[in-house]
Amino acid sequence: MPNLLDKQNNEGQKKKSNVPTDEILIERFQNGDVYAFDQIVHRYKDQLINFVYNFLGDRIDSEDVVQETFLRVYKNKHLYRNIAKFSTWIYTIAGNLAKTELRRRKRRRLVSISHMGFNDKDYDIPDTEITPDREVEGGMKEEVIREEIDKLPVRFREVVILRDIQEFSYEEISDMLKIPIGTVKSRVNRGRLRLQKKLKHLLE
Amino acid sequence: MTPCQRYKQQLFDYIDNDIDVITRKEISKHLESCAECCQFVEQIKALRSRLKALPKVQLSDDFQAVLRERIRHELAGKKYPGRFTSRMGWRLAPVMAVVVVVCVSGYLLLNKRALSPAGYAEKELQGSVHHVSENLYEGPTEFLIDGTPNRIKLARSARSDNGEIKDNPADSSVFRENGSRLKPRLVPVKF
Repeated sequence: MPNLLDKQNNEGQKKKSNVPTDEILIERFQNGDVYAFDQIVHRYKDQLINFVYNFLGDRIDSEDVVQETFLRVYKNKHLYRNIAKFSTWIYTIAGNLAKTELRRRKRRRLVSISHMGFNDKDYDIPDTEITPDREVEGGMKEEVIREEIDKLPVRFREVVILRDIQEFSYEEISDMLKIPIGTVKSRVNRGRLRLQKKLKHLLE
Repeated sequence: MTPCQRYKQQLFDYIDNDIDVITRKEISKHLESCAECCQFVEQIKALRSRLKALPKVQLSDDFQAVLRERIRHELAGKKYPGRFTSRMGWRLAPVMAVVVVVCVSGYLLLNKRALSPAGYAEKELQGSVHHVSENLYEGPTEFLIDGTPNRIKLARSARSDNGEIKDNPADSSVFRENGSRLKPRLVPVKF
């Protein structure tokens, strides 16, 4: 029996050691192994699309941002130093690109509103107030939650997504955003409080 | 439902399991006796579960193919015509067309006389253009035209047949003595 357990443990360790860490993959890629880059893409594409999608709320734009993120990793691979986790680095790039996209949208929205006349139908702001009826009618609880995430100020939104959806530690978020852990915690809590107030009906 | 102010921050640490054993015990004890804080903790926990359970988004099937194509373009030093760029391009096309038409028409209207020698000659025949050699009250000025001194006169206003001084219809235009129009490339010199 002990022999069997030892064997199982050894196999588990072997299996573990067969899976290269992100840091090993990027190192291989830095040394010219393009296959390592493919592995990185395979490992991160789904995580990143969900992170960016929760940030932007648009699938096509999010996909563009994720493409751009991988392209930046490809072009700037030499800039990665093994002092930080690779995940922190790639999420920082994706987060910055998502924020740039948000700023671009804001500018675009300002331009389009300034070009509208008073008779334009587009000028009407749709009613996005959450009512229990609306939730039950549409059965769109997820959509309502996403809408509320979208309404959070960017500084709260990004930390709530990273902490409660992507499940990063406070330390990792602090490294990504280059802000103190205390600030991260405070922003996460304030973001949660806002969501809790808006989504009370769904949480009871 | 709002939690007790005293425990507010600690409740978040409690939910995150980021708290020492003694404080954890203290909070647990408080939660047993405080319905508001208890409900608050439950709501935040429920919120976290909801956020975690949000449906995952799937990438399009051609994601990796497009990425490879973008990288190939990048390596070749070409710019990849991204979806965002092309979408914006199509949206902006009519706006750009209108801007170009407005600019060109404005330019043509403002420079109608300058661009149409035939029109100018016609006006000259109708007598609407006053020749500076006749009704001038301003003196002649010498200018360097393309480096060569030329004697010309400035026509700011003109005297009509009954002696009244009126604005010259060809206001601000500068003419040679023979009446031909000069381009405004003049450098005034003393005379």
